[in-house]
Amino acid sequence: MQAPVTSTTITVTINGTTYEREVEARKLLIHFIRDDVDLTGSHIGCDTGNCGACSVIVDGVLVKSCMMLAVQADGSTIQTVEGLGEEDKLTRLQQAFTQHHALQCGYCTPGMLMSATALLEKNPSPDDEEIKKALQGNICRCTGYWNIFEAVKAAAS
Amino acid sequence: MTETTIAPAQPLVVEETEEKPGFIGVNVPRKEDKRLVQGEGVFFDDIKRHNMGYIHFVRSPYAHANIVSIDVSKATELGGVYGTLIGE
Repeated sequence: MQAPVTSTTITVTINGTTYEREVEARKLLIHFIRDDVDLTGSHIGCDTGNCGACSVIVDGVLVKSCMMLAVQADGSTIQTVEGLGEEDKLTRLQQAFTQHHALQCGYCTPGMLMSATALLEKNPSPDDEEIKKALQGNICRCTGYWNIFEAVKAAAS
Repeated sequence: MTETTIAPAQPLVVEETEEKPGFIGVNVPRKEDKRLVQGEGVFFDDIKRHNMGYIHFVRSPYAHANIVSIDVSKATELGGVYGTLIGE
């Protein structure tokens, strides 16, 4: 009996760098990003699609990367928290997070930033309800949500 | 007993000025924020060490049962397995 095919080669562009890697078919996108590509900015809070700490932007769409297989991302372009701004140049949103004390331990922050980035790319001037809706898939266990909301509001033009 | 006097490094009486010295009443930017908003924070799960092992739990497929015996021989035969723990 022929052994089933359990791995395949995928090509993914993350933050402008193209990676070609062999991955197991069962591997989640977040594990590919964290373990295979070593971009540990995206976090795993729950592994079940609840917490949003693993949020990344795949081909312009906000995705919880624990809810997607790495093989499904073959050929796509992904942006993670490491792709926001530059080394010494934070984005408006990143600056707003620091100024409004929108983070404490920082574990949920990459996911919050990606959710808010996806919102502001689609809608540069969201109203209060739209901001709240955009962040409802992300859980924070330190600061509460008000300062995060304020930061996103400040970053919106 | 002799009384010793130590000259303070800074004068003990600070002249009152218009400008408040120190951190009181001032927003102090956190020095850890920059790396945290750039995804450069290092949390426990982000640490990788040479030859680091991983733990995997094998749970009982039965909701209510007595453990009669646990056979770990197949697990220890696999390559790269450091060991097994079965609570004995």
